[in-house]
Amino acid sequence: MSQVGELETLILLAVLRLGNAAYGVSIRDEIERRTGRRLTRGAIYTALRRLEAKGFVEGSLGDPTPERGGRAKRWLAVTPEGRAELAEATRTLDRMREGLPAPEGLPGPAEP
Amino acid sequence: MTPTSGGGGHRDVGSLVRGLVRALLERGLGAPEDAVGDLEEEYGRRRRGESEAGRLRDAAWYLREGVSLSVALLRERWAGGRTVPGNHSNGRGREMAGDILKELVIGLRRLARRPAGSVALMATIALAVGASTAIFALVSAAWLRPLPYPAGERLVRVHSAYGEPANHTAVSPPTWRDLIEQPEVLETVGVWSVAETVHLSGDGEAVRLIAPRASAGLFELAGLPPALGRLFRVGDEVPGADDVVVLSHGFWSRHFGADPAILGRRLLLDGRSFEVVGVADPAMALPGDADLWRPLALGMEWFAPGRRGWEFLRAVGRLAPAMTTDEATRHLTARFAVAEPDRADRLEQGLVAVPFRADLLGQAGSVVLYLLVAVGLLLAMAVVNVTAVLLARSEERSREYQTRRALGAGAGPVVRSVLAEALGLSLAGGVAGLLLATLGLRAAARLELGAVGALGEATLDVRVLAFALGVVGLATVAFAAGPALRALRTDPAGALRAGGRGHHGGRATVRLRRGLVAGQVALALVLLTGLALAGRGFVALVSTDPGFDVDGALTLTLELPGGTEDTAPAVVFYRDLEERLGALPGVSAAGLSSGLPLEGPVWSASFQLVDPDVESEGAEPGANMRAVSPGYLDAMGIRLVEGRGFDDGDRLGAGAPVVVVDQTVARRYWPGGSPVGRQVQVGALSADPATVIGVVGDVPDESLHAPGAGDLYFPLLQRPLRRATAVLRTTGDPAAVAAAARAAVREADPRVPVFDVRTLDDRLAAQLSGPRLAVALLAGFGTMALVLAGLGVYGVLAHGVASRRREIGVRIALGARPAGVTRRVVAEGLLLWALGSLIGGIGALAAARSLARLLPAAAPPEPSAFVAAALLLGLAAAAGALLPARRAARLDPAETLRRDG
Repeated sequence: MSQVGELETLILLAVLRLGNAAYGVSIRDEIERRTGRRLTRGAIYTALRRLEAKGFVEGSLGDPTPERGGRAKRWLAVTPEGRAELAEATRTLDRMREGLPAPEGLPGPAEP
Repeated sequence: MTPTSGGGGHRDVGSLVRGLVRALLERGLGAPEDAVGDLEEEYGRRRRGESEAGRLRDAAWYLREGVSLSVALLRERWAGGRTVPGNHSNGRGREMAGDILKELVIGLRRLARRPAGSVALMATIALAVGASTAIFALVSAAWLRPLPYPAGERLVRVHSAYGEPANHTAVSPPTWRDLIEQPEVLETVGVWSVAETVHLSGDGEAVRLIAPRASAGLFELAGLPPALGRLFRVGDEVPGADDVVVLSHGFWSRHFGADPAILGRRLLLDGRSFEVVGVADPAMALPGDADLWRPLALGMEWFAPGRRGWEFLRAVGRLAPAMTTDEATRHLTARFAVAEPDRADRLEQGLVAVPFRADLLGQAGSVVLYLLVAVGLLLAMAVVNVTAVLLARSEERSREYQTRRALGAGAGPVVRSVLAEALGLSLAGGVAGLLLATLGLRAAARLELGAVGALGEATLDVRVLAFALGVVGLATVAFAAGPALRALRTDPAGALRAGGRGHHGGRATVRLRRGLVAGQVALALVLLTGLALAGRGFVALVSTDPGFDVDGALTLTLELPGGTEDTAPAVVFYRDLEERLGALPGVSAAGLSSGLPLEGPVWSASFQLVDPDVESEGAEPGANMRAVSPGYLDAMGIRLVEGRGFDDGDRLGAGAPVVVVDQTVARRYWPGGSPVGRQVQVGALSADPATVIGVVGDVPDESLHAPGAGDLYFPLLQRPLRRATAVLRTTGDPAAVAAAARAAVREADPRVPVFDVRTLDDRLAAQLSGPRLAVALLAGFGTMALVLAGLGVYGVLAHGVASRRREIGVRIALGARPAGVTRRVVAEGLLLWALGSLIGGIGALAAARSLARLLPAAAPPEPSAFVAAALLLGLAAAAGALLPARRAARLDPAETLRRDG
């Protein structure tokens, strides 16, 4: 059973996609660009803290810049545990979809 | 409005919001650095700061995002580190803080459960906090900001005072000397000359400067060291040795780019050379509009007794220690009466000392204080209103409290939860109120309050924010007190029984809430009565017939080059100009005058009555002197009462000296008879006596609510002055002829500078906008008071009906008629009103008496104001009672009994 919800899955995927350019602002933008959903700041913050607490992402502080009011950035990366969890989450979804007729406009289950 | 003032206002809102949100996140909630950094970065990227609306939208965005993050942080906090392992804290304080935060969130949620009601409560608080904060900011700017001069609170202005109520004018050189000779009253005395301008000629065009002549004592009194060089000394006051000037800091920066090499340079002022010896401190504002000061060098002849009528000096003094302004007034007047018994007797002339700050603020000073009192009452009403509603809500929750207590909860958590709800309300209302206050101040800055100086500089500084915080704190305590007491008094065992029947509160609470509403009605009555009296005073002020036609006229001021004794060219110029201006399309009449009504007397002089030949013993009749062209009276719409006005024949070299007097002068010096055809000798005008040819209506000198000193008009064409203001009566929009009027002056003489091109209405706006603004504010406050009183009555009755549904249902079931039910509820509302009016009536009587002292412009107390206020409140109370009454009458007994039985 997966330990992450949909929101956290989205964020893990966004961090993966962004490679070494993932931090609060870029993650929010990336998710909006790909899904059209603008997550609230609070939701992103809470989800990231939770993912960090579970050890699925890890952060490192960057340099403070003037446009950030002299406050540091926190660069984020997915840990191996995070990747494993993501794979598990995807599998969970697939298992649930197995055998269902593909609703119109939705793809079928992932090919094995 | 200037672009900077508008922009400043918005920067204020934006940075205020950002600062508050950032402080809440970082200090209050301990937000991590990166989260705030993300917020800042996105803010920087999305900003469209340029337009006004854009800046407001940015601020709103920041607020929304900040709140979203705060909620997340709060949740994390209060989950107690469940999601973040290793973040446990065992500190008791921390736990308490967590509990309070938790309660705050629960409180906010509870508020959110009744969005309409909660928003109404918050709006009430926001309006009250906003209005009181904005008014306090005005009071703070006007009264609390220290004067820049040492011992500034002991500074007084000294005026000549004529008659009762006193009409204030400047003082004469002999009076100045009297002031200096009374060090036991005034330890230092400084004077400057009224309204003097010079033309600075140099490389380019001539520049017109405000250049009062100042005594050395004036700088000593100000006590501000020079920014550069030196200030005046007594040696500069010798005629002939007075060719030195001190520049104001502003003029030095503006005109000379703050060049330190200015010292020793010579300036050509009206053709005479002056050496720059110093630059004054930026704070030196005696008078505030001076570009430079010249020494006041008066020959001995100026101090002869006959010069008492030459009142052209503004005097400021520092009171000797332990001397009060009233004592000073007495001493100075007594001394004046000894020196000039005749003037004291016949003209009722004396001297009056007025605290400098009050003099500077004038009427506006007392108006802002009055508004503070009024807004304080309004604030009290709003707090009472919200308290009453919260009390009602807490009754509904009484069972919850009882259960909690019965299950063993201490009083602490219950009180905390009450406090949290109150805090949530007052904080949310307070923040919104601060925004409202900022907007209000920005709107006030747009109005022409410039004449009131300090008021235009009102901002939300630390003192004002502290005030707002104090208001919010007190409100919180008030909101929480009732419900908390109630929760504490709850008897855990017995209460469950009583609570079983629904949620009507105990008798005591019901009585308390009725008392609160009655108190609110009382407050409203005090406030409304005061508003009615003040409002009537201001309306009278605004609608006073000023004696001339304010609307539909353009004015412009011009000044001829100085330094010449020959006046013939000026006569030619003024004649030519009047003709050109009058012939412009869209202009029905045009005239010129040395000064306009309400701009203050430019010059007052004494004269002798030649016919009848009254034996004058020392004291001479005096009046404000106004030089006017033939078309002036017509262009201004000043009424001709008798005789004729000036015509083209009354000019230098063409006709005999003539004058026109106003009704005040006519009444004073020719009581019972007509002055037309009589002769006066005006020493300042000509050696020959002048004939009075007409009498015109009075116009005010300085203020709409003080009688003028009396005007004596003489033909500008017989004695042309250098400076004149043209008035163009227009058939259409006065502003539309501005360009043509400027061009006409240029065609008449290209060397003559034109300034102050404004409509007459604009020019007098500073005089009129104060009272107009006051009327608008009073009307706004009055409406709020009525609405609050109505809401208060509504709240208590609606709740009463809701909690007595069963009883009312039974009554209806037993045959009570709907009309009777309605009557009972309305009667209860009117009872509250009557009770409140009774208490309020006593308060209003006391308030009306102190109002007269606080606000001289207010109308005298009269019963009609009380009655009108009480009736209006009765209407509001009836309106508030009607809705619950109808609801009660429509109750379906079967349904009520089913539900509650």
